Amino acid sequence: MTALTPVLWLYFQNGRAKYQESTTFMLVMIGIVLSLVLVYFYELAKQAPLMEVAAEYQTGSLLDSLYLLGYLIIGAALYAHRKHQDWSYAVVANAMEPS
Amino acid sequence: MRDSNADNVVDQVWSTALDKITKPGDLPSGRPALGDQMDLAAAQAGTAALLATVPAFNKLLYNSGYAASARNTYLILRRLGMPADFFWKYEQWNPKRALDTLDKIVSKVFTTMLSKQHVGVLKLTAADPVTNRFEVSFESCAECSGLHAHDPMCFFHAGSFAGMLAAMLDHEFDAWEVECVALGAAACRFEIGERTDRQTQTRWGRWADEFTYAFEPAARFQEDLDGETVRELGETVDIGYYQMLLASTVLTNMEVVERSCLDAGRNIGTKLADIVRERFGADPQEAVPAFYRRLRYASLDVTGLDSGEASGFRVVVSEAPEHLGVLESSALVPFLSGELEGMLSALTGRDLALATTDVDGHDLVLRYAPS
Repeated sequence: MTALTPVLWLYFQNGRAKYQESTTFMLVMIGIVLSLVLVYFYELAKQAPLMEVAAEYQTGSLLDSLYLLGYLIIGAALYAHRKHQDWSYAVVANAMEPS
Repeated sequence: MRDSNADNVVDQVWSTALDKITKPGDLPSGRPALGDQMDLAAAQAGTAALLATVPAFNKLLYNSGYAASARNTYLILRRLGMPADFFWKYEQWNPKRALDTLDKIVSKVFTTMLSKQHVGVLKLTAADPVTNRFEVSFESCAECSGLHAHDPMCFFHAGSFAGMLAAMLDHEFDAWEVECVALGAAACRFEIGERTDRQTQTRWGRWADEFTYAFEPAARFQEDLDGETVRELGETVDIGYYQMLLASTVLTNMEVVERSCLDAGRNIGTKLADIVRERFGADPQEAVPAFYRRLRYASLDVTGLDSGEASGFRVVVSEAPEHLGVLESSALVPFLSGELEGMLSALTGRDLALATTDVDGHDLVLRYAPS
């Protein structure tokens, strides 16, 4: 995880600098990564082995909430990705109206 | 090397054009007497004369339009709040989505700006994101309506449209004109392709290299003064367009074109003298101001100077677009001063030359003396 964070950060910075990457696409990726790695953060925070922590899945635990959070980020980002142009166009159209 | 101060002035002119749409109440007219419109013929004369007389001016016009448009399209879209990834991966869009999305933005922003300035009506008519080929049509084109040519002549707009797409799609494009109002077409039509594409290079090169043009200012101004209709958008254009044209082409290339502007202006002024005499009288002090007022170009006060060998004219110029607003400190008057030089010389039958140029408040004071 320590190695992954700066890689994601650099990827994001590079994409923004070159205007080659989509913010919403980046959020989808962040959601996927979080859904995979949040369990390890949880494991570190609880100071318990992974096998023991994994037993908490689907029991209404905080771990389930974290897992769902990752998927919610993916879902929200996919929705935003789909609506991105409409929203952006609305911003431009609104800015073109006389104030 | 490009002059960054000149680029800043160009950017301010573009920004003012946007402000006129988004903040109309915040911008008082810089021309209380003449208003914000000027006759189209007056706005066309300078570039048309330079196209006819200066070799490769068409390429300079194109490149100036491209550079100014690419930079300012980017600035305008960011200022309007468009995210940088709006056209993300557009190469993978289907042609219909590419055309619809691009046309929405072009229509909302650039067609609005150009129509409000009475420059023309822009429409994106074709888009192929796979081959990066686009087509735009431009009705009522301010660059060529009322002019007559053997070759398509709208280099400034071709460069502007290529620069506009370049900034939006982050590619280098070139545009070439395939139909032109100056050749009798209903609208100017431009094709745009990627700069690295061999066919684009061939077609743009052929258009730019083989271009020839002969400008007849007397015929164009005669038509204008007669009130003839040359386009649907009207016979006037916003001074912002003229300022944009001047700043983008002349100001950024002042060292190269200053002498040519003076000569071209003098040539036009000489050719227009007969029309001025015929329509406004033989007295330069009355006729010249009346002519420029009729064109809604500038308010002039022409005074004869009778002091022996120094006899000549003192001309106080107010509300001229090239000495107004952000251009006021740019000394962008070689064309106007040359035109007055030619006109006053022809009207008086004496060889007059510009002796001094001074600034008095917002006015420009030009003194002409026998050369």
